Amino acid sequence: MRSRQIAWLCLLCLLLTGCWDRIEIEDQIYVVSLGLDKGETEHYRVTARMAVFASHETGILGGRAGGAPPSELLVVEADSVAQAVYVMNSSVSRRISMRHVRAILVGEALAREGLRDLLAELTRNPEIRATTSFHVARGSAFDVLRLAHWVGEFNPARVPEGILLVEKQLHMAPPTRLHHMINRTGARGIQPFASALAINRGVTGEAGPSGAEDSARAGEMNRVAGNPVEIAGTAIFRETALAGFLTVDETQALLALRGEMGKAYVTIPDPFRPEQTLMVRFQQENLPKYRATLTPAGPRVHVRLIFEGEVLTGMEDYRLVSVRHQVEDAARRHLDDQMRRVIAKLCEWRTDPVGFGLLFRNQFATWSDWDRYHWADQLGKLQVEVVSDMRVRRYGLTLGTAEQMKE
Amino acid sequence: MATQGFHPKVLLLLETGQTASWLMALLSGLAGAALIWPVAAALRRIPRGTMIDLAEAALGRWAGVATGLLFPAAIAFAGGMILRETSEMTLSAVFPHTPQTFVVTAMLIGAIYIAWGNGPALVRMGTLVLPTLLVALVLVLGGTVGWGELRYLTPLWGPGLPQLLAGLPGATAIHFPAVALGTLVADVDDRAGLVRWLPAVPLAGGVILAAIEGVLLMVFSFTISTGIPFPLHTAARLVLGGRFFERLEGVWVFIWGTATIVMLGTLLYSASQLFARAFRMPRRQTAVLPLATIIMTLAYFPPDQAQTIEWHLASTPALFYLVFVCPAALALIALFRLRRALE
Repeated sequence: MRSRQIAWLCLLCLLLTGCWDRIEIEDQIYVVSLGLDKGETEHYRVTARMAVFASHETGILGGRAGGAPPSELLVVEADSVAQAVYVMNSSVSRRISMRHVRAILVGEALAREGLRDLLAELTRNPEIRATTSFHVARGSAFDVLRLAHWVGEFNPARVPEGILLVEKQLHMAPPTRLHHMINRTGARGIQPFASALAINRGVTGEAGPSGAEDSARAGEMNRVAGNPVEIAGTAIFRETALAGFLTVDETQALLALRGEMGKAYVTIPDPFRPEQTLMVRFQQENLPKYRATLTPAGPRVHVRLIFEGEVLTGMEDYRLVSVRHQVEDAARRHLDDQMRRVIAKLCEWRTDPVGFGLLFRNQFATWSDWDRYHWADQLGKLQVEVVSDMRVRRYGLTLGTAEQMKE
Repeated sequence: MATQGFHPKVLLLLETGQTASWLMALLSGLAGAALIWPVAAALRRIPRGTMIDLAEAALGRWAGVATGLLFPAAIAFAGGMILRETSEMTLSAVFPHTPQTFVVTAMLIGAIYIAWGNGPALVRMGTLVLPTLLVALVLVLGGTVGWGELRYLTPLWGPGLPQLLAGLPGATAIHFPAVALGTLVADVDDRAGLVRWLPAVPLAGGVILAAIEGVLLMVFSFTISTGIPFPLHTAARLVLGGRFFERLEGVWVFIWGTATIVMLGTLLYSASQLFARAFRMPRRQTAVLPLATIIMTLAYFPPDQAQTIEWHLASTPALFYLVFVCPAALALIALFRLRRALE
């Protein structure tokens, strides 16, 4: 018995011979954001933003010497991301690790060509996680990574998380992760979309203020100073190729149709003063109610949406019920218009990021029946009827101006 | 059975059941229970009996020898594939630089240690691992279901009812460890209890697999999930526990690795039990090391990761006839003969 125990203990010694896969943090340098553009000499131009630890320079955790930047950029051209990382490592004295990539940003030209190969490679790579946020740059991803100067943010690894948080709370752009892109590319009945980022030329001084109101595409917001990069709107894909960009208002309409708008700040025309606008915080509490029918003329969808709102600006006396009704009508009309415009645009682009196709899948008994229906070909015949209901519930901390209160 | 959910076997259900793979899992559980029921009924009537005694009672000594060769061979093949698949997952996902030999050997040593012990020890080990495994499974499924889209489960009939039924043998074969458990009855203290609950094993397995298939379909959709070699591991990488609890899959991989070792140990125990019984060997343990060597050799047979999964999936329908249909037929014959003998 004793000899058997000794034999087992000897075997256990095999486990003490060392670890092949140990990773020393100080031997690594971590990519936190990855930009991918169409290359000039190779398929991709890959831009990697590396996090530079304070301890890299000082040897201790704490402040960095000489106010050096907390991150650095590396740019190479390569046929694949894996090759790019390999080439990048020729100029870095630490092993480049992709385990902490938090954001992937794809340039417009590459996205328009199609991302099938890229998504396949990213899915295959065990270092890259599907939870990584995914964005499309209007213009070049390299420019966005190079010029971005996120106000109030020092830690480059925190930026992608912050962007996702802003997207989730303000809905100017849809919070998108790599998993969503991969998943929606393969699932028949829905198409991928991602948040859009761009350089604002009004901020860089290359052009004047855009003059656009807040419903603009990325790069067209009416800003004059600050971070040149802005997150606004949505990049819409047909299969894996970029079809076009939506504005902020259209993005909110898209999210509303998907039941993901949550709370969104929307500027609507002021029904009392045509030259002015009202800012309303919309809240989509209930999921949309869909009714999908297959007709000889094509697929038909009836969508019913319910919103609540809080008026944030305006000069009216909101104690009057008629005023409330007029604001509700204006808000409803505005949202309905936006949703119809988005649907028309999506049908024209022959894409379905809302996922209307998924509503019809249960009307087919088998997958092959559904496959034969060729949903993508039906999008030209898709008819969508949107009916929304809007109730204004609150008006901030005052119901009217001081003069109105006196009356 | 819960361990099977982490292996590429779930791909078989996804490929054959498509969007109805969750339904396929439930049907396979029912079919498995129906086929194992006569085996349990026959084992109840043969004192201290195993599958060998059952085969001998049905068709005589040579049927026992044939069963004693075929069953361990099938179990060794399945064990070899499981060992290779798990080592591939470990290398792809966690230890890319570790030699495969090390992973395979370490797992096999664990399995041998488990198989060396007696039946009650094995049951105790299973009792210890199962709750951890189920909790891990619930956490992974619960943590990923938020990424899912319920409508990905449609069209409800997947490939259609005829194709679902045609794929049922392969799907049912996933529950083959339940039959292997049947060999434990010779050794455990509560033999009657184990025999009574034997048909419930595929049923429970069917429910667990249905939950796994449902979540995988919702999270990845059927078209994507069939291309992922280890779908549940890929799903586990999506689990986010807030800003400070990410990358939890290391914990799952450890639990699944441990569960796989226990499962391999059970299979090895079962194969050695049958082999020893068929050839009237005085000590079951004598067969453990040779069988483990065969399992290890078989694990290295497939040339690559993809072929391992392909071989395993392709061999599964054959396993159905060998492990479910043959024992059920033998059990029915044995029951018939026992009744006649009593009369």
